[in-house]
Amino acid sequence: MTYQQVFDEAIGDLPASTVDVERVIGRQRRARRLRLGAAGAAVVAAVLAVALGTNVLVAPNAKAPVTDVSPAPTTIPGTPEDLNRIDAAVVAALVRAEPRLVWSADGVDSGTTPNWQSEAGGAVANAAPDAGYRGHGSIRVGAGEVRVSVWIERDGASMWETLNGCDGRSAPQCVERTGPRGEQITIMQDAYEGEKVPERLKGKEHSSGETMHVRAIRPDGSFIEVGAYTADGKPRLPVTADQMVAVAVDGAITLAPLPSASPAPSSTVTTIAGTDEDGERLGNALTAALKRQAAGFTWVTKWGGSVSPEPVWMDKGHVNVDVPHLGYANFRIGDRGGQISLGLVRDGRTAWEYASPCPTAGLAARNCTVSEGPTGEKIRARHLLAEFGKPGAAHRPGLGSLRRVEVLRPDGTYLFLAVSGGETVLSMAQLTDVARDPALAIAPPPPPGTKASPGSGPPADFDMGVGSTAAAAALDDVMADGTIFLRLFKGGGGGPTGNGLMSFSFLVQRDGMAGDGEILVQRRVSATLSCATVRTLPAAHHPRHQHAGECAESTRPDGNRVITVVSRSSGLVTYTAFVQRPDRGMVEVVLDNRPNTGAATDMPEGGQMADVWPKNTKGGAAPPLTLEQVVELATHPDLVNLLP
Amino acid sequence: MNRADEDEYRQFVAARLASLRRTAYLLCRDWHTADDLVSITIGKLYRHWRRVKAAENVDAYVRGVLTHAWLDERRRPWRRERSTDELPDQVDVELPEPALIDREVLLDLLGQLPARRRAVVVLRFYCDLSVEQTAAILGVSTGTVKSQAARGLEALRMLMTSPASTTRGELS
Repeated sequence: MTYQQVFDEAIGDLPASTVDVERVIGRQRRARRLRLGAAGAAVVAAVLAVALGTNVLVAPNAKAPVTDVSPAPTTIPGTPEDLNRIDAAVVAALVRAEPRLVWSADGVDSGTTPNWQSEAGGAVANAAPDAGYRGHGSIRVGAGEVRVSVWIERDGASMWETLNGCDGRSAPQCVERTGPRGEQITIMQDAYEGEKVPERLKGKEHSSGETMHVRAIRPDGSFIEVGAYTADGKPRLPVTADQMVAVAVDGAITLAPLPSASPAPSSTVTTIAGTDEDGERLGNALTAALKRQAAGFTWVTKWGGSVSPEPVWMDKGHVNVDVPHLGYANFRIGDRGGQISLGLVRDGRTAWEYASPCPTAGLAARNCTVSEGPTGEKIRARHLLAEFGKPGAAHRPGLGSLRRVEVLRPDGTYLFLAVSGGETVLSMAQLTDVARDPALAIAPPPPPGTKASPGSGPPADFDMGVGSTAAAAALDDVMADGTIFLRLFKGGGGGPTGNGLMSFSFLVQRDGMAGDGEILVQRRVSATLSCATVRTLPAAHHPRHQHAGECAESTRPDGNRVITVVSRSSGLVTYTAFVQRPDRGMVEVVLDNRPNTGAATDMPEGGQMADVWPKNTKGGAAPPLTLEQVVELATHPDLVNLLP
Repeated sequence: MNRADEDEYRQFVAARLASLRRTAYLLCRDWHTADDLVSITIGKLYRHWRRVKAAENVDAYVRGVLTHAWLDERRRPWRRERSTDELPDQVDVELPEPALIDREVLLDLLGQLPARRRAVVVLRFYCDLSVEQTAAILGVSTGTVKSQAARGLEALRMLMTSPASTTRGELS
């Protein structure tokens, strides 16, 4: 037997893959468009390459309908109210452009209830929520299914430079025109028929279809793209370019103006934000603050490495202008070691408000405090729970080694400090003192017109276990006995304010019963949930179960809507509970009875679970929690408020 | 990337996905992280596809990308988390079948090897890369690969026979 065979046998059967190749491709396409103008053209060329003769549907300089100029919006950019306003404007514009449209998803109509999802933030990963807007939805016009998207970018010049123009390499049908208020517009259409669909994409992609992109740069400098794509394999879109142009130039679909700049934080900092010098200054200030707390403090070059006079930042950090982040560095105090990470947010009030509050239940609650400092700063200090469910680990929540201190200062700046190494390295009080150190201040931004490194924003794992800790607290509270496994499945990568979705996989076992579960938390869903609308929630987050079954809905005294669905099929019993806050934030909890009837019913997909709990562990006749307990979990404050 | 390249990329990824996931799992011992690593890797492949397909040994190149993705990932402090509170719950989990115990032991032992030594073992003995290819991927000399591979296998053998093999944590 070869080594390879030995290892393959040890690995055993592969669990279902969570690698989404199409999503990876989509992300890379978008990143490429942003990185390089030329590469952006190449992406368009990829579409171009498949085009077969398409009739020009757009008459050059056809006059687009004009919507009356709307008063400037008064909502605060990036807030749920602002998203609601833009959503409503988009929905109204689409209905105005195509009165026959029916909202729909995956062939299921929701009638006049808009099935429109949106999120704040621009195209750049982890962008500030006021940087732009992205929305998408599915409609049916006659017999044609269409996916529609709307993307607005506040600072639109670079997008326009990258994506505009019919330069001959673009889509075969490309028209340029000027809009009613001076907007420069390009309309690109591309149709294909009889394309070969790779074997593994059959059922996901169609061999025929049509896409359309209407892009415009507006007089206020913002960029908008309205996209339409056939979703049913029909060779032609049932909407015209004129209709999409009408949406793109609709004056009500606009970002709210930025509020006037907050007074600059008073600071004696002389370096300029976003420069290497500023990163060095912050590193030195952190060194001094830590040495004040622990005389034996020293940086080390790496885990178990040699002494270094200055921090050696792994991951290089992202010293950008508004959200500088210093990666993480190894340190030692005597014979104990740890790692530390520091970040700042210039306009930090939203970051503070969007951060998950302290859990209310159990171990997690006892290890999280909110207090006010002597100079009026708000301080949130958490000792996070370890991930649980790893082989050999405790099958109940326990404290991990990671602690996190967040400070919102009176000047509106926000600081977060993440430290691993446990309480014996530095106490929470010491860490709080470090986090409160006024020398750890954000530097003034560069003068207007200065070319500064934008950095790449906060780290992808900004959340660093806060979400998992809250979900574990809720699960632990509802199921106080038995065995629990819980892992973060998606989310945690949205930066200080942009994280709109988190999901978790969990397993529970008690009293001879077992079940696979899933927790999905969304900051906001566009639709008001009801038995009718849960069926049309986008399938992307629910690939392995349907929302069909015995449904009941109610509204609680606190205004939260609760929808429960019980489905039974071939031995599989699934309880689903949706809870929607009045502001449309949502929690969904799904739990089955693990009948082990096949892959389609063995949630979740994560192989770690299968590893620690073999797939042949069967459940009982019913899920291990009652429907009431599943509702209790979904309504648990630590989940309902996880993404405030 | 044009449509033809993209199709070629999709076919390549589809053909290698299972193997990449297995390799990633051997490196990180966590299917969630393994799938994340594979996603990162194939994202990088997409970005540099023309260069990738021109590589002399595409598979070795791809495994190099994957290995570096893992080495980068494991430097993050929150990947080092270990539970500090013991809250054991006695539950009536059925004992796994014997084959599963063996499988767990082997994978667990692999997990106890230091990161680079584990990478050498996986690249040399699972991915079947040459000493030279492994050295190039990890940026070390061929001598280092040979010695690390020998020590890795020796450690596995010793751990197999050691009663302390269930101790968690990396060996130094």
